[in-house]
Amino acid sequence: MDAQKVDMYLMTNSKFFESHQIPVLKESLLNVDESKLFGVQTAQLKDPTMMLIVSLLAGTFGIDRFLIGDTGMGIGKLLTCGGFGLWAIVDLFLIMGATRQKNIEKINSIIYL
Amino acid sequence: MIKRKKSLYILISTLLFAAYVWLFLNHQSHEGTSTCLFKNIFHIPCPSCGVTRAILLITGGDFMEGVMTNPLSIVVLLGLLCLPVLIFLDVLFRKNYLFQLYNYTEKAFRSSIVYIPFIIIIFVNWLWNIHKQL
Repeated sequence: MDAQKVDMYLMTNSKFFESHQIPVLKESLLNVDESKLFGVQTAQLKDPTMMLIVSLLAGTFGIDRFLIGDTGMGIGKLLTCGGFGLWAIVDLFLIMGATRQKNIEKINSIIYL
Repeated sequence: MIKRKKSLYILISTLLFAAYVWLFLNHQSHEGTSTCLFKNIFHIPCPSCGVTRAILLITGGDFMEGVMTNPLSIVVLLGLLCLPVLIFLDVLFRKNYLFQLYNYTEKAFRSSIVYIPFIIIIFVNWLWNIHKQL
């Protein structure tokens, strides 16, 4: 893919990924075919800040985990009242990282499909 | 993949251990403390409030009253009974039944035939919980 396009994409979407993942992502985007560009640019990524707000408001029901696609953990949180209240608090700190991880997995699945 | 599998096993084992300790503590004392964040902040019961009381009632032999307190307790009780067996089998025979079950559940919940009834059931149960003032 064109270096300028990759830089532009990474600049506008850097908040969706962990900072240490960005150099690796840049490498793989540069090596990938131009035809993947549309898929990468239109991928619906989850906003970590939005997930933090959801986690604050409805973390005890596991809604945050359901939204990022961790359905199994969502059910676990829902049935145990947010993991006896503890998991809900721990997830306030983990959810942004988990969202970024899910985003990079999604982009990787588009690139290497 | 292996890292994810390992963390899943650790997480589920910790949750199960915490659940059994919690049940034991509640069985010993009948003070009825609540760790539910939602209930303590808003004073409204959450969808899974009352599961501890329900499970204690069921294990005490009062099945109907337990189910009427919170029907979700059946699902939790099944999990509490089956998941340790699965973990034990996986560790003993080096299989990954639990991981397969987890992946299967995640896949099943992506289809609308499963998740829409699930949401409706949870929501109705929540309204019932609020009505019962758990």
